[in-house]
Amino acid sequence: MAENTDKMVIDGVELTGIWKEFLPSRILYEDVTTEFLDEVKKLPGGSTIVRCYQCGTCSGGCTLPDFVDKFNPRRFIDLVRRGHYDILVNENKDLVWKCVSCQRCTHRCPRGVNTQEVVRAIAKFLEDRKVFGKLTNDEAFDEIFMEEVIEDGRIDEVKIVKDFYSKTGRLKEMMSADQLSLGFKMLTSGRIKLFGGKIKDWKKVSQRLKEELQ
Amino acid sequence: MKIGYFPGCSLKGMARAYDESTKIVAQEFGIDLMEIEDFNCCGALEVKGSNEKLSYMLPARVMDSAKGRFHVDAVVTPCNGCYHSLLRANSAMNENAAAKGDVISFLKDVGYGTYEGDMDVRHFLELFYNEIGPEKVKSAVKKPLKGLKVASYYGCLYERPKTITMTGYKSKRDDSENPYFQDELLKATGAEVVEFHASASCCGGAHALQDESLAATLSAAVLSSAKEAGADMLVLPCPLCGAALDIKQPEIIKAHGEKAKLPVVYFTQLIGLSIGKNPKELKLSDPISNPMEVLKSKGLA
Repeated sequence: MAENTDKMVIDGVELTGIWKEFLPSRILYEDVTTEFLDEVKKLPGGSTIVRCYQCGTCSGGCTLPDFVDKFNPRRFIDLVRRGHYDILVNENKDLVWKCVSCQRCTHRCPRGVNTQEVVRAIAKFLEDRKVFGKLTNDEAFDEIFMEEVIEDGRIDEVKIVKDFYSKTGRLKEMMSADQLSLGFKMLTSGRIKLFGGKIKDWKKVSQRLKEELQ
Repeated sequence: MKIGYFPGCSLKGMARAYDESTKIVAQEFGIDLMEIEDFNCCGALEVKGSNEKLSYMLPARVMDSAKGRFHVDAVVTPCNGCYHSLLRANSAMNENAAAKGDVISFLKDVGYGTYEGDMDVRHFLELFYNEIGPEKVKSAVKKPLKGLKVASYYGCLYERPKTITMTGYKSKRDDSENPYFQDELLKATGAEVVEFHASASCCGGAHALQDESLAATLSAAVLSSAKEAGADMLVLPCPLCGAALDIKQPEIIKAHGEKAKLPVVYFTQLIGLSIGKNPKELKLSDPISNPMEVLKSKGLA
């Protein structure tokens, strides 16, 4: 990115300053490396990354920039395509995983990129390379969720919250006065049931799903 | 038309108010819902991000069961998350022969049918708007919700992304940028629907546990936007938004103050109330955010 202070005039219009950041042209065919791109493509939801033509519609409508400074899906994709691994890790690793999956990007993408799933795949790419130095909250929650769905076929909200807090070492937060009184209220009103419904014949399905993961 | 009812995990858990009020309203307006009793979890975001094949197999089992065991023509779900997962599995099966093959061999291995990705999947809000609609609601109203100001909130996956929901491409789908089906139904109950900018914004619920502080900030933005617009309560068609905006509300208020304090109810609860159903059977005392207080103060409950 050029410095904002450089003087620039185009067609007699003074463009010095922040406006110029819109100007660097999109990189479509040059400077694309396949090393990381191929890896992201193979992760769940990553395949449509190749369709991106860097228009920025995703970032324009994104929910997060209002709340998370520098969150920019277009840039995450660009960095992967150009193989700028260091920038992705150093400047973006704490951003990518924050996506809340609102689907505005995927919805509006004119090229059919499944942007939300691509952004998740990029986060997973970083998780797989252990750049976070610990199990992330997303990894912890996804692992528990997968285990419980495969084992029981359904999700029990209380169990999954308890197991998530336990896996991330925060079980005592669940025992705070506020949480306990909330739990008590839900239990006595009947919103929490201690014995969830069981699915007939699930064992066989569960076994088959486990084979899929091997 | 025979309709299979897929409630999903949340409606059998903390969102039972949505489950029960949906069934009451459906029955009252003559929609015959046949519950797919042996349903499994749709897989949600977590399976989708972990394993693609499983993210198609789980919803396919639900739809195969609906078709083969319950012989229905359509599956309806009141949950935005389940709606997304089912439609997503169908679109993968229709566009990707390998995905379809995986699903078919999975179903065969576990002794199920031959589901091919052709189930008509509907959201209960969309189905109710199209098959019943505001006019019939209006004529069924016994207790108009006069004087009640509501913010009509939709969440994300009900209208987005168009590649899955087909909003703008398929008839009977809501408007994806300016959804209005719920607004029109609520107006028919006699309630006043306020304008607010966050009606199709994200509550952050998908990260309610993994990234609590950001999720609370997003939820607070939705709640305070509705409150500033003068709403007495927020009305929604999604149990996941319900969990984020209602169950988490005490924590949200702690972090963001009273501007985020607002009762949250499901649209089926208010429709039920307007046609004279009892607040108790509609489980209007379930929400942590206490809608009963304002309903009582306005003489509506």
